[in-house]
Amino acid sequence: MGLRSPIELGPVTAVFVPFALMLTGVNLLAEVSNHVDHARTAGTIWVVIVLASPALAIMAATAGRPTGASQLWWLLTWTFSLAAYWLHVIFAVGDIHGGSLASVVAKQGWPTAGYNFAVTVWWTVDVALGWAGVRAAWVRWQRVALAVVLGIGLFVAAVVLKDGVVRMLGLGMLVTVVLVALLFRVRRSAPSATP
Amino acid sequence: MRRPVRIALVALNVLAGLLLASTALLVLLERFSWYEPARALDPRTAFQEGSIGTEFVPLPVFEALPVLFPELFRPGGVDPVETWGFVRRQDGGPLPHGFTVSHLRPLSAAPSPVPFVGIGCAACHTAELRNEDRRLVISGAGNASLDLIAFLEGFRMALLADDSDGRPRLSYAAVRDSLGRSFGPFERVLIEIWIAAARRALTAGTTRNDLPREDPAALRDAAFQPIGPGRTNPFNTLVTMQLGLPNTAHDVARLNHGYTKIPAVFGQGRREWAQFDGSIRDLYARSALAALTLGATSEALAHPQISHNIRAASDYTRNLRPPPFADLVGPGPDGAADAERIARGAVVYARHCASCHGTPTADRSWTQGPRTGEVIPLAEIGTDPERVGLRHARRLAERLHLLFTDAYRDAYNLVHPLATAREDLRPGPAGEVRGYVAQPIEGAFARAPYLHNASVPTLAALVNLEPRPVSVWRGRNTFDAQNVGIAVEEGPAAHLWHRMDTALSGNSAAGHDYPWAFDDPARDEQALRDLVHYLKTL
Repeated sequence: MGLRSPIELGPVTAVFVPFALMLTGVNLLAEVSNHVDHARTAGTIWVVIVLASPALAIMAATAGRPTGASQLWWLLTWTFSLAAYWLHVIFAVGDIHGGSLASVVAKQGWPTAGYNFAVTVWWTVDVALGWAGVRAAWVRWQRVALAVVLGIGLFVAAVVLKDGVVRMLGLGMLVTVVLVALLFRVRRSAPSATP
Repeated sequence: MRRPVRIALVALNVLAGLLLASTALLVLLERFSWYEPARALDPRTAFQEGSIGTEFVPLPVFEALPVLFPELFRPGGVDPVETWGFVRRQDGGPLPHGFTVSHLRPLSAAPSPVPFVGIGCAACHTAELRNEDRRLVISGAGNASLDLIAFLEGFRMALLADDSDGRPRLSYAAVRDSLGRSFGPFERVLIEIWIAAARRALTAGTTRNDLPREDPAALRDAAFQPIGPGRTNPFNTLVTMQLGLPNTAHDVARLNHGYTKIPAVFGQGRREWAQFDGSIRDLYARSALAALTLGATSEALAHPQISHNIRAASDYTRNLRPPPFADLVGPGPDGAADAERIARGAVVYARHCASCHGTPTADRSWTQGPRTGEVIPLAEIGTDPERVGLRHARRLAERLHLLFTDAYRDAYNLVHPLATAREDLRPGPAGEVRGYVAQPIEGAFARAPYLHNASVPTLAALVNLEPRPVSVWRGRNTFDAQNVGIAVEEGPAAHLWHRMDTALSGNSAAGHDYPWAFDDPARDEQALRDLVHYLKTL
């Protein structure tokens, strides 16, 4: 079974069009840079962070169990963020490291490289589970764990280890997740208007 | 959802999809169609035709330049190769010897649908010596005829030239029409983008470099092009490009006059410290920094093909030997007498020259002298001081080191394949350089003109057998086998366009008065003649 709510054109457009525009922009910027491969690799992570921010925010707001319209928004942003992440992996491994996984490990070390490989697989599986509509309890908890692991990983990579545009995006992701989660909690705990 | 809204959303998605598909197509074309796999060129090929990251113009544009701008590239109808002192290719092709063609874009070395022309090692470090009816092309000799700076200035003039209506004379349409052929869509787009970007970059650079002169004749006038054939002014290029400081060419009082001849690169492996001032130790760094001076970026130099070519071309020079003098002049008229003069000359050399320049061995190797490799202080050698008086020398050495190490690592989280240790650049931890380094002089006959600034035309003048000329007309000088060096002829002439005046700053022919100064009472003319005979054999 798939999604519990229909796939609506509006949300699809709201996610796909920015996804396409951002990737096009990133590639055009890369073409005029002095290091095309690096610019593409770095730029795709920007797209990952921008699209992962609402997905992580929805996860935080719904405690890992989005329903209704929020489920569709979460799945769309989560899926396209993963698509951008796969492009990042292809550019990084294929162009920067010449297609050599050994080169990736040599540069990053086993802990970091292992984390990156694991997250790539885990995230892909989770998106597949999301589109399949599997709603078992273990799926929810692994999804929450993934969101925490990925969220922390993106924050460390973007904010702690880097500066410039990617740090701003990472901070924006953090603010988005915290604000949306807080607003959602406030709204849920507010008394009903009817007596 | 209302129908018009639905239609609009569908259209948006379709457009976004097409945009994404176009981007994907571009990436795939770069990856699979335009991409040239790195080739492990052998050292000689890398030196002669390997890209070193100096791509500067699309090949079709380069081919069109002499047609569109004959006043700049073939004045008087003279072939462009001859005009600017390049060496002609052995295969007779239109590009000068040593010019490279690759599918690498300038600055980034990213794949290109259009081939780009670059300036390789052999363009500057190959010389053609002409003695009567004999012609000898020497790989590794500095090209004393090449007026590189004037050629590049002519290139700048062409890019910035406008017609009477104020429109650029150089355009895709002009290139297409002059060559009589059209190009595919990607080639056309790239040529148009390149022309626009190059004009923009050069226009922005006019705040540092001033506008080029309008009169093409200025390119051949030493008053406006003081550097002249066979020389560069590398510090000016590095100071403007790497330190971002102004080129003070318009401020004569502050202009750096560190004119330096294009050097021979024989036997680079036996030189611990190279460049005329002994400022670079690492062999690969010498070549990488030379490429940088010609416009390569650290990013391009990190490209696998380019970094391989840099290393391979450098390795080619490690044990590179010059040909014998007899290849240029033929067998001597009197072998026995020549042998006697050479033997006497060897004695003079051993007494007055070997301590600094070392001595050749029977197997054509070289034995160092006590001072070989030492930076001889300026006060002692007495040659032109401009080269070693650059006030930005330390700042420049720091910047060049960081460019390939910390700056590259910070920007890209990668280690540059041509990174060099700070200790291999001077001034720095390994000391200062306020003098000129004493080096072996194998192939002495092929190193003309002499001194670091090419101010002395012949060996006879260098050893003060003959007086050093106050001025020399330079260009495609023929070879003077008698005095050993470039022929001093009356000018101007079709093949001699630059009057080098040794009274001007940076051009001094003073100093290095060994064995004796011209006015030294101890000066022995016979000994000097014997010495010149001996020097021919090195």
